[in-house]
Amino acid sequence: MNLSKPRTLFYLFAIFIPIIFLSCNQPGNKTYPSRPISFLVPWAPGGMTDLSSRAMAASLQNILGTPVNVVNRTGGGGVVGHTAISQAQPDGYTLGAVTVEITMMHRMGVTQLTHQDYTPLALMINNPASITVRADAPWENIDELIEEIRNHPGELQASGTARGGIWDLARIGFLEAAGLPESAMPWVPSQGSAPALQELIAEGVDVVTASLSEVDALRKAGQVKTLAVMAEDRLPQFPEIPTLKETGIDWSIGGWVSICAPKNLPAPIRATLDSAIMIAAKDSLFTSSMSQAGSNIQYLHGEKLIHFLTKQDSINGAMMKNAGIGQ
Amino acid sequence: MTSFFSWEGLAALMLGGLYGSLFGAIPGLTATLAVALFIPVAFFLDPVIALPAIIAISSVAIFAGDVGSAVAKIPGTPASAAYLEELYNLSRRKTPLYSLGISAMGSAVGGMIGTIILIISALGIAAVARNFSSFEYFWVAILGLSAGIFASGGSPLKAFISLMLGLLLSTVGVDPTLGFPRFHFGNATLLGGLNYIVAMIGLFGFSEVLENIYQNQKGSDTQTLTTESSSQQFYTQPLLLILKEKWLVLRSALLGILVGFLPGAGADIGAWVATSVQKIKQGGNTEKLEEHEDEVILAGTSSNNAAVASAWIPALALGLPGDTVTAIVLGVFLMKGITPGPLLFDQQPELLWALYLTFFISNLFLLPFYGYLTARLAAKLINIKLPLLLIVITTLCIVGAYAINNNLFDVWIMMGMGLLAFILKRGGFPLPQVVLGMVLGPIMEQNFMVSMIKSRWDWASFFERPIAIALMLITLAILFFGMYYRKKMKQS
Repeated sequence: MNLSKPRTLFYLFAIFIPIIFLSCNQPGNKTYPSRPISFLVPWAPGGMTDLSSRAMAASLQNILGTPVNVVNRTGGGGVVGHTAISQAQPDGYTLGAVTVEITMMHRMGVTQLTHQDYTPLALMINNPASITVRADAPWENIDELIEEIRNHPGELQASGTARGGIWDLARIGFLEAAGLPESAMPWVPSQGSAPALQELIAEGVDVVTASLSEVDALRKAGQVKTLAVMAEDRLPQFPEIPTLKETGIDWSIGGWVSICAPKNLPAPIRATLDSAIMIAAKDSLFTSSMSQAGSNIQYLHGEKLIHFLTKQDSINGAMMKNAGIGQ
Repeated sequence: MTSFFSWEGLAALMLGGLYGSLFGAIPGLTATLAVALFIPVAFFLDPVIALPAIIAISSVAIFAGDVGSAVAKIPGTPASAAYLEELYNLSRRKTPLYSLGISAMGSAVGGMIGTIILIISALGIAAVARNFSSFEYFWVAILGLSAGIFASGGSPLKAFISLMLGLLLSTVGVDPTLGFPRFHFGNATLLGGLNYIVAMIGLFGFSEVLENIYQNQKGSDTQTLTTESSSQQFYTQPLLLILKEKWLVLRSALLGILVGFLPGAGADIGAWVATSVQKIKQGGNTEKLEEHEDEVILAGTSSNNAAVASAWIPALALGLPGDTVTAIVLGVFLMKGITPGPLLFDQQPELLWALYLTFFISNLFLLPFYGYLTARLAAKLINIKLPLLLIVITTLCIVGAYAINNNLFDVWIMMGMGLLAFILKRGGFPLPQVVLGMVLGPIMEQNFMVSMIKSRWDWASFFERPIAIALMLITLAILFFGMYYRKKMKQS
């Protein structure tokens, strides 16, 4: 074969390219699981969703006896990865991390997807929002901060994620529950909690509402202090931080990560995965790495999980509507 | 804790280096991906072993990104796109052993300078980094863009147009500040924006294939007619060059450190600024360009590895990641119950010293060792017959574009970018600037919008903070001297 002829080259391409494309799908019909499972993560490596998914995948791998590969399918503020999970074959070989953003994206007009487009398997973690300020800020507790916002509305600014993101909703809900308008502490959008914290310590903003696990490193380093956590009860890892509820403001919100499969997952496969995840969620590999990362494990499955998802969808929807975010 | 000087520790370093050089050399497989895939393993390892392995992986992988530039004209990182043309030409004209020798030795020396600065002044630099808000980031992005105008040998106007095209391409997808979807045509993949690594593979790799098919070249015309032994070409000559150009190396490394420690800005801008400073010094003198290719490579490569070390400063001292690799490392820290920040410096000095030592070992031994192996391999690859090489490049382009997001759509984007590059080349527009625009576009846009929202649309706020003003003056200086030297060269 003479490789220098352009025609030969062309044929080689013609053979090569379809082979590469076709080799991406391989059917399998033996007992489940008989080949590696892909675990799609819609967010970048290093974040909370990624870390908890990798810890979960490592436990699942031991339990199921087959490799569980974490694949980061990022982009579009989570739309790309969430879409990929819902569009995969419901054969149990593609699972993924579906996060709180699923209740919000469809109201921003970026996708039609809702939690009903998946087979929900389990809730993994739920990290409540915090109210965090610079360590040298003049407010010692949440009441003093609220007093400041009430007396000088619009002067303090908060950040934590993009506009309309989960920590923005946390801010809106907090202000609303404290009887303040949304404009009393405006939102400065950021690309995530790390840039928001950078702005906070550079004195660019005054309050960050990201989760405790995200602000924990700077808190321990003495750069910031957390005035309250937006949870029902104090968190076991952070017993010294009061809840908003204790100060008479009835508001709690968190960023959560659930494990979902594409819609119409066959019942036998679902049962296998259900029991495997139930064991994995109590596996010390998963629990110890989550507690060290300051993440709050909340395990739910079955009916309770569906109830949780429906409730989250309506609460966050109402919040966005009140604040005039999205459609 | 297991001692760092154990068989396990050394094995982790050696394997990490091997793994990093494999990942870096294959287009589409990045240092970030290499580190992310290593995380499940890191869970089970002692941090004194896991973290050195991560450092070895990332510093070798960033050097190995140059191997793709030398052999197939596909840069592994946006940083190596800054001196792509020079590296590729030099590899063809002389031998990849010499060009990659400059790259490896320059990286090693730059990395050492970066590490020394990390040891002496981590807490001091962190105090500066602490004051960086969106205003300062905005000016850093502008600084990077203006450096891009003069980083090409050709017309600054054409470079500017390429940059603008890159900025335009970066606006595809969800708007980074307000979440408004743009130019997505109902396609969920486009909502995520165009990935600059996918674009880079298409712009450089695939367009080269199109170019060769179009011109229907017969066989490769590279002949390595050198009499020196390969180790002389890889070690001795580049080291002599570094000794001769010691001020150039020091200046570039310091520039890399200066820009590299900023969270999120990182090694890419550092390499671009260092390269364009070198080119401004050389002026637009196209006749002598060939003689100075090695200096341009040296400038870019020593600054980008110096930035690798300094990206760890905000991560270690403040707990804020400077790039994706350190973001992952911080995750591992938290999992292991290690809290970054000033306390780390007081409470866990043994871990810190293990980190510093690994930086030294990676730069002193791993880079020269694996660099030599990959350069030998590159020297063989470059002599492959052209048609066969084109098939290999096409395969690498397709696999690489797919591997970034595991998305078939990216393969089409890669091919589209190849076509675009083919057209741009006909008009003499430089390609690396398109990538720079795509990398810096979101950083600039995001920080501009955040600054405006924060200051309630007060334009003067961009000129109020001292560091912001300093950055603005540096930008103006680059623009001024760039234009001045160009004009002078034309007149003489």
